[in-house]
Amino acid sequence: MKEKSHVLVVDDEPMILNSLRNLLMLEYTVHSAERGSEALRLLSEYPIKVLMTDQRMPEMLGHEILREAKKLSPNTIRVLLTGYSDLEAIMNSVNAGEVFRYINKPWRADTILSVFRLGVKLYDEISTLAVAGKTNDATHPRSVHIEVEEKHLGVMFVGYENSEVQGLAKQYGNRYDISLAGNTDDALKEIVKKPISVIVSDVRFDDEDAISFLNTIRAEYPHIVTVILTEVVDAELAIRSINELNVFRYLVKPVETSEFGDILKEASLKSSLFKSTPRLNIHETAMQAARSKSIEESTMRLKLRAAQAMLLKGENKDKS
Amino acid sequence: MPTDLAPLSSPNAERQRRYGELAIYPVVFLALIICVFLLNLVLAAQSQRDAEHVFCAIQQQKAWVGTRRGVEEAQISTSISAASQPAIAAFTNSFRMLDRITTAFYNGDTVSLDGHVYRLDGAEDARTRKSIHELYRILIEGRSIFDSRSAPAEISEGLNRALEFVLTQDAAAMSASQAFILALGELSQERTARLQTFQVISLALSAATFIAMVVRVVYKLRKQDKIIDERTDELIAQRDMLEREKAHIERLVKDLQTTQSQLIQAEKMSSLGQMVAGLAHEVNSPLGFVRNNIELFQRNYGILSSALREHDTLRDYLERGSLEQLEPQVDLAKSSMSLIEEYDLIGSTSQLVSDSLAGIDRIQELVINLKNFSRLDEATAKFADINDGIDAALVIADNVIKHKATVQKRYGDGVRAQCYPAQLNQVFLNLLTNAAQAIPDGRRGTITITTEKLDEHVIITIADDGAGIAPEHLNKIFEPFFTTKPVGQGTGLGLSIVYKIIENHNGVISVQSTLGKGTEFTIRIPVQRRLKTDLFVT
Repeated sequence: MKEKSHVLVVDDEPMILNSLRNLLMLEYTVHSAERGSEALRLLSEYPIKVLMTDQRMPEMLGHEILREAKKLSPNTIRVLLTGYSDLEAIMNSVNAGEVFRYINKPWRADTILSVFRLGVKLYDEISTLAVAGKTNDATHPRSVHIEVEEKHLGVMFVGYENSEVQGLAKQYGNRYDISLAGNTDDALKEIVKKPISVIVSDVRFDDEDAISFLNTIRAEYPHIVTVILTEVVDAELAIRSINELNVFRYLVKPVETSEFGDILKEASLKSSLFKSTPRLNIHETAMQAARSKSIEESTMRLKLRAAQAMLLKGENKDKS
Repeated sequence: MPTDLAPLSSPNAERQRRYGELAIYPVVFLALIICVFLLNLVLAAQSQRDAEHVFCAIQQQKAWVGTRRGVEEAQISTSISAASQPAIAAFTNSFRMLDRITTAFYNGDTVSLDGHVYRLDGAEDARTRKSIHELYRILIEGRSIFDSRSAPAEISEGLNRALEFVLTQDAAAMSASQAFILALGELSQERTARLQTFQVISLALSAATFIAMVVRVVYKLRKQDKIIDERTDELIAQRDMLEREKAHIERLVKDLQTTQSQLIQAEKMSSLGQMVAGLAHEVNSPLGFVRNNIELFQRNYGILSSALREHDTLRDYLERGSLEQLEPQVDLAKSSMSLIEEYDLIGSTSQLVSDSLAGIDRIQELVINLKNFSRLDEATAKFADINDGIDAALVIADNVIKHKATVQKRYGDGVRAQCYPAQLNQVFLNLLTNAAQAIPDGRRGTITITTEKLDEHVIITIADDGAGIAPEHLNKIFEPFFTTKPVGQGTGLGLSIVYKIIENHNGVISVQSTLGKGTEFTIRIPVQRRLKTDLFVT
């Protein structure tokens, strides 16, 4: 019999731990901890593939445990489970890239199981890549860095006023190919015309759902890295942007231009990495597996297809 | 409001200066009037004396005429040999009178005529002097004639001399007398004219003064009117402004009241929101595992029931004694038990069920607590156990407290009071939440809750060993809107509402705090509520 994968669940409520242990024990070797220090000890002791923790706990908050876990065991897939939509914790965990999924209490058993299965799969994949001796993430970006400078990557802003972006365009215009789309339709038309590496988008559109819009793009162009920059601070949106979109950053206006510049740099770096080595885009792989069929038939998707068709027609004409 | 009242800082001096000037006019006017009056008196006196002088002069003339006629009659009487004595006596008397009057005129002396004493001036004017000198010369001459007669024999001779004298001097005497009277008249007229001139001048001056006064007063009054008008306008403007200000302030006060009630509402909502968020967490945890357990129970039920089925079949084969089927069935039954045995599914399922029941109980407890906590149907105060209220607040505040502090309860027995339990629960929740928040991050604190019944009061203390309150803030904490939390994180109304609630319970709340040591709130409420509302509307 194959050795079972190790997983770790952390919660200060023993009955929750008991319940989760019962849920997971048939498939995994389940470790459990009631507090952060214990969790970190277990993490260094066992090859934990998935770590799931409550947010509100004594001594150490959930996202703090995840932050420490990232240092101790960077390949471990991190999941936050909480009964309280603590916005600050969500934002913290998104922007520090600490969380793979955000699950609300009360949860469905199959949700947990599928997240764990996916998590374990991802862990294995990353580990294989790491074993293969390749650069497994952006920790060795130097070689790619030069590429970025040369390539003049495309950055598209969606949903902003011209005046808002102009200053930025002036500042970074020589480094990136910056374009602006006022609404989602323009964005879809733009995206088929030229290569885009990073999308910086608002989430406030008149009647479109921003997350599904961005998701449609991601499904077609998995290498594109998404940054949300908005005034809307909404826990639900933030959770969806983690769980459905794997957003790179969720930024709240106004943001420092220098900080934003760094983020753009990191994002474009990541995008070129995904483009050159699609297997590294682990989240996207997971997303594609989990992505619902509904996107396939969504109007957004149809619009994108239409835009692609238009472009194709134009090209054909040029050829003939 | 503009204050240009500085120049009026010494209004009395200003007023004195302004009205002092006006006071001069009547004084001058009065003086002039008095002057005219005095002049009149002088004039009247002068006229009388002039009349007296004229009277005396006329008497003098009459005396001369009398003397002359007497002499003539005496001469006639003598010539007809009639008795001449009465005539002689008459002209002698007349002459004596003439003598007296003329001497008085000449010397400026008094003269007595018919019992009246007249004081006569000496003739100082050249015109009167000339006449009186002439008359006096005639008198001196006459004296030698009239005084020298002595014997009756000489009477006729004397009479002759007298007659000669009177006849020769008559024209001169009469003309002198006439001239004298005229001169006196002229002098009197001149003097009267002079005095009248003075009078007229005085009157003119007084009239001028009067007019000046009138003009000045009118001018002053107009000026005053203007000032009054200006002041009135100013006052009206100020009044209008005050009214506007008043309206403005009233509006502000109204706004403030609205804002305040909104803020109180916001505070309630925010504590409600806090409560709800906390409760969501508290409910979601048990709900999470209960739900999961039920799903697991379903899963385990499948496993267990299939094992039961296999065993049931096994028993069936045993009963029927079909051995060839029995052997594989034993293996099937065995393998159906492998998961159950490996994971002790029977024991763990039973554990899951009891956990679920405990979870459901917890949810139920929370809901009951919540219901008790904010009973909105409470209109009247009722006897309630204070300790129960604190426990309810502890359950609600649990998610704030449990990670920060350990709660030590030192409850007294029979701590009951007539109160509005929901309101008091809000007080406890607020104080407990504050206590937990006062404990700095990274340290586990202690919250000590003490209750006791003392005399007819219930005393509740909630103490923490947190950061404490700065002395300069300590007397402000019950004020509305006072908060040390960052903007947007606290309305600053929590403790002011607490204060109000305790006040409403006829109680008192006090606070003691030491920076770095902790804070202790003490609440004291009467066991029996004083009747606060009257029975009847008065």
